[in-house]
Amino acid sequence: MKHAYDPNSGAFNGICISPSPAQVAAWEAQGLTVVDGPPLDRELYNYLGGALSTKVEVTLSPDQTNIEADGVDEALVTVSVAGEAPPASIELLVAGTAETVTLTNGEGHLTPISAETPCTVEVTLSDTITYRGEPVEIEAKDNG
Amino acid sequence: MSDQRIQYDEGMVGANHPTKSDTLNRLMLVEHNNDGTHDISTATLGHLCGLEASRKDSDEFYLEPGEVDIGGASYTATAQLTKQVSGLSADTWYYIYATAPSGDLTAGDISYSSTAPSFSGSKVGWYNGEDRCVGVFKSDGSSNILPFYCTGGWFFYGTLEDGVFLDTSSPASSKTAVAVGAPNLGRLAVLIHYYCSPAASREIAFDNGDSSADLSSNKYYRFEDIGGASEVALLTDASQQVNYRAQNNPSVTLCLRGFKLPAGMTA
Repeated sequence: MKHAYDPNSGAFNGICISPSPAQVAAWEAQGLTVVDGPPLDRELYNYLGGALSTKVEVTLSPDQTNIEADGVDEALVTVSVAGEAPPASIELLVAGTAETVTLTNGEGHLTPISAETPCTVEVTLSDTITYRGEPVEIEAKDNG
Repeated sequence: MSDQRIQYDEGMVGANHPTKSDTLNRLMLVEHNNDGTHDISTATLGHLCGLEASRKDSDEFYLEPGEVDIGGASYTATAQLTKQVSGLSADTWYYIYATAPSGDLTAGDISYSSTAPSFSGSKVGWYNGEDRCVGVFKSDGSSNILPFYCTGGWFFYGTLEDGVFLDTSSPASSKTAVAVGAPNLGRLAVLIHYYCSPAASREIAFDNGDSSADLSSNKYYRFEDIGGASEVALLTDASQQVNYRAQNNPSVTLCLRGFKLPAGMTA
């Protein structure tokens, strides 16, 4: 089993059960480092610092996923970062716009999300190499 | 075989003459027993029917009732057999062997080994020494039997993810051989499940393991503007490799869904 990772970003770019020399060469031609490794789900790992590590789990918990599109009704998303030494902050993408969330003991909140017109606001991780977590969607509707 | 009829210049000699060969019965005895019944072992050399393997649990597998020729004689398992395993290595293919019993086949006549069989032309089957290979299974990272079943001459993983052999966000952009992770049984017909991340102008192409093509032509298994999952049937080379290439960097996951058990290992 071979792993391929980007030595610059630490991204875990590939895993192959028994790569041919051509597959290894294809990876190396893209600037990746190829090493031996165990079978695993690469979506859960990274190679930050050149070492295989599990991604830090982030949980996004909105208090509601449906809001009135009136500019008043709000969804408050709690951000929880796992681990014994969580960072002081984490960047998320709210409808594609970056927002930094200050964390205390791994917990924090996004700016309350509201909308004046019907839309769907997606909240995702900005750094998917270090962290892993499911995105959430806040749907704003005009219920008359 | 030469002409077995009594010739004009031969004497007619029956069975059990103390010094002369039996010429009267010689012709009839070709593929027949002394009582006139058919010699089943000769007529069915290499025969295998049933005995399909499947996983029972983490350390047991089943073999269905069936019949198999081992070394020129036929043996029957009249009921489903359950075989306990132990001491497996992790992430390893194991080959299921049947040893010729004195009567019917039982679980005690079934063994398993990581040593691959080879095809015997004289015995018309896959053998390791005198033991005939009737199936395969694979262990997981914890040395447990991976979920699997065999049906219609095909081996299938019970869980799609167990067959992943390539998962990358940096696929090769020119024709590249990749091993599918099948057991060492020569060229195999395989069913590949592939997933590509969606985006316009992305494509993935496949071809058989012995293909000399560069996969740029539409003649090959080429899927353009793709996104999502599908399956393709291919033939590996003798090292269980197929060829692929991807354009415009989709994330690609290739899984071995299953493979056709080779001739001599299936009915």
